[in-house]
Amino acid sequence: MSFFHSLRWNLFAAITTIMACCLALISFLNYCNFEKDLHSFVRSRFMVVGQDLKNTVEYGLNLGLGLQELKNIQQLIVDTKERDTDIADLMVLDQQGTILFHSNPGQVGQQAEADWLQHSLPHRDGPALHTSNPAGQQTVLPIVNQFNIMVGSLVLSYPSAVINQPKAAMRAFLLRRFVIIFTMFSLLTMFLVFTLTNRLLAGVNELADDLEQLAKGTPGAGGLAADSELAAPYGRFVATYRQLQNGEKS
Amino acid sequence: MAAMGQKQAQVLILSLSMVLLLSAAALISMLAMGEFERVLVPELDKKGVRLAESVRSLLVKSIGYGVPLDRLNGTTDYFDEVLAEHEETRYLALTTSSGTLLYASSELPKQLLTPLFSQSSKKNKESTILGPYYNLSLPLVVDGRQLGTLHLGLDNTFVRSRIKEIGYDILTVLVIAFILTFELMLLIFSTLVDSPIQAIKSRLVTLAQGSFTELVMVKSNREFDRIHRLLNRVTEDSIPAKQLSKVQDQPIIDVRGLLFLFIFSAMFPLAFLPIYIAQLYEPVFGLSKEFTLSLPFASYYLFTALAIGFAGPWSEKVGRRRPMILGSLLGSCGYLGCGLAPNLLLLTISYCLAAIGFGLVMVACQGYIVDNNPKEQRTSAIARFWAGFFSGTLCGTGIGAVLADRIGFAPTFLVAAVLSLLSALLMIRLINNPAGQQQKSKKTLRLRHVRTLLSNGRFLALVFGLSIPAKICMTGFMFYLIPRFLDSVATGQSTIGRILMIYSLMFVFVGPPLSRFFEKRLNSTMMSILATMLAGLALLMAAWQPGLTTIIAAVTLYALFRSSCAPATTTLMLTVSSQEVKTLGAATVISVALLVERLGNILGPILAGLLISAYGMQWAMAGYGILTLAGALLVILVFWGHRQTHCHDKLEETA
Repeated sequence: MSFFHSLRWNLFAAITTIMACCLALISFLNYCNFEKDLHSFVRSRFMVVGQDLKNTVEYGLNLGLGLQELKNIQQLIVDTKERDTDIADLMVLDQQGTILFHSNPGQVGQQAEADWLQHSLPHRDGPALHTSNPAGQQTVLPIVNQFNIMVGSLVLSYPSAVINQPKAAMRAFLLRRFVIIFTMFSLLTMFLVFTLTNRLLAGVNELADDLEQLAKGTPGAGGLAADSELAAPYGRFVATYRQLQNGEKS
Repeated sequence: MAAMGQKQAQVLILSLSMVLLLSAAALISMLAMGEFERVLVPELDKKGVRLAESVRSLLVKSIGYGVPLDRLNGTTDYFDEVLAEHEETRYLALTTSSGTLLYASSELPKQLLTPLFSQSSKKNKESTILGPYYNLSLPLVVDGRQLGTLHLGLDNTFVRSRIKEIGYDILTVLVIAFILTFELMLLIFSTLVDSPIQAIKSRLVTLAQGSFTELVMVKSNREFDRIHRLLNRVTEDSIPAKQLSKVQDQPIIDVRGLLFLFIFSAMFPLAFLPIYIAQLYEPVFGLSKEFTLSLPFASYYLFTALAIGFAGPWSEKVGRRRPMILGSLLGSCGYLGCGLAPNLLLLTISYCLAAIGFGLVMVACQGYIVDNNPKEQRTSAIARFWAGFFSGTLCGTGIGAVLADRIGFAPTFLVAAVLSLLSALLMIRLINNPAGQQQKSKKTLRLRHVRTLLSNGRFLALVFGLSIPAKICMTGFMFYLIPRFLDSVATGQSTIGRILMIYSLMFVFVGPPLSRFFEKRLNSTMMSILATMLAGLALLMAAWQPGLTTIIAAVTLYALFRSSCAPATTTLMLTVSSQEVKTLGAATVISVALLVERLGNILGPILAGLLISAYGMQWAMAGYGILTLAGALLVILVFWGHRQTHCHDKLEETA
């Protein structure tokens, strides 16, 4: 009998398939939750930094100064970036997308031409916009003056690695644990199935052995344990069979 | 091995495999949660530092403008604002360098912090764990002189509480995995153990009667096939070969597992479909939005009813196998179409396709059970069928909602399509029931049967007063209004799914024992009316103060009362139509009731759409409550009227 056609194999395959699906689904749900929380924590951390700078810029605007006139902002931006190594870039743009202040002073005066930024400009009137692109993750905060008119944007960029590295590490962790736990419990399942299937098939095997003896004409064959489900019909069959055999002989 | 031993071994394998499964799932969740904490706590710490630095810089700026430290007006309010903006923060406090508390947020665990205030932080940042808080202390330095210390408290258990949010999802998955394992193991045992044993038993009985005329052709090489081969040998020894005919080994399996898998996939959209439909909404023929949104649902139930009507006679003619497979394939195509549908029209068409599939499978499965079970075993076989149905509903609703929450609506439909396809493939592989083998039903439902029964006033009152409103509430309130309402109060998909699971849970686990309990204490009329009125009040309770808690309570109570009175209502129907039962049979009476009450399934969502567009969600909920109460009142009046007439007739007869 082929092993892959056996009841043992079928039972083992079914239980381990359900187990694999269940563990995979739980790992997936765990990962989704982790991803959601990680994004939320990281964004919220950079929002604090961005909001702090935005408040400082808007404080200056409320004093009646123009956005370009807030010269202290350039140094503040450079200092902020130095304090937080996870920040890639910090910049303040005017409404036309011209960089007024940048953590890399060489960029000041240039036009922010990045596609993501152009795309995000029309949506900047909300409290904050979080975008991502191959270059990294961005938090865009609107800068409004004392008349509540938007005069520019503050853009904080951080590398995607800040989020992607923990995510990749978590994926690897969950995959490793999945493999280990699945292997461990599959072995236990194999032991369980292979041990208990013997009990499950004992009655069938008993019947097959007895039937084999009966077919060979071995005397004494033709009886199963009385409490077997198949004992009664088998007994009647054996009686009929013997009658038939005896009839043929006579 | 004894028969009991064999069953015991099955139970043992089933129980131990479920224990293993749950242990594995619990272990992987625990390990994952530990790792989450390890990664997320430093992230929280980084944010806390940034926040504390931000607050400190503002304070330093104010002091820099010449405001003395002890006269920073509005600091307490500012601290409270910061706390309100950042949910993980618990307190903010500013002390002098000598440890005197100057300003603090409204919520401050002073006793816990007092020893800390006395120590002035000299370092740039100092972190301490204080009971449930993670305290960050930053020195307030102006012109090189430390004026004080700022303390920021983060909730030490915040990350853990965030992780715990997924606990409900994992619990849902575990409960579903438990039921799923149970159902699939039953399918495996039925296919690989019970059916072959029954086939051997039946062959032994045939041979014992002296009928040595058939050789069973076995395809595979499983344990049981050895017995068939040996029996073939014995048969060949007894009878000349030319007198023998060859037949295929066609064991009859219990369809419960297959039905479970199909229903499991069919119930995936239950918790999120109203929300998905709302996303695809576009104005149609000047119809109101709410009415338009209810149409896909109404069409679904209409097509299910039509398919049920058609599938019965058809499956009698062609056998159960073909409608079952076709139904599952239509279901798969339907869900695939729903997932890919760019607009409401295509979604409705696809969903109707799935409805036809649903109807075909339901009827063909019941037909298969009737065909392949002796009369005395049919009741228990039908009970197993419904157990599979409700288990599938329970698991499908929960998993569908969890998946929709994580991967989106369209991909969840695609998963449902794959599962439905899997059930079709399993049906192709496992179902053996060629045309002509099944027992033809002698009685078919005719229009005159419906007319006869509907002329019975009390039967009519029960159908229109109890059964139809129950179906209206199920499809309109439970499956349409509840998801829409919960979505409108920003409840996640997973939670909506779990709330709808309560409905099935009550019907599977609580309703039957409760029904048996009341059966001994109340007569069926009293029980049906009382439970229906209480169910109506539960709906009114939801309408009175709609909110998550009220809705959970209303769904639980409604399902509790409905599930406990459903058997009593069926008994009552048979009692009031005792004359018709004598002439038509109980099965026909029940069939008529089931057929007419399907009208409620179709009306439910339409009514919801009309009520929402006219009066809003709250009043729509009230509408369902009033309808349920009015139905119960109708039954009371008709039964009371009948009693009066009956007494009057008796008095006249006596006179």
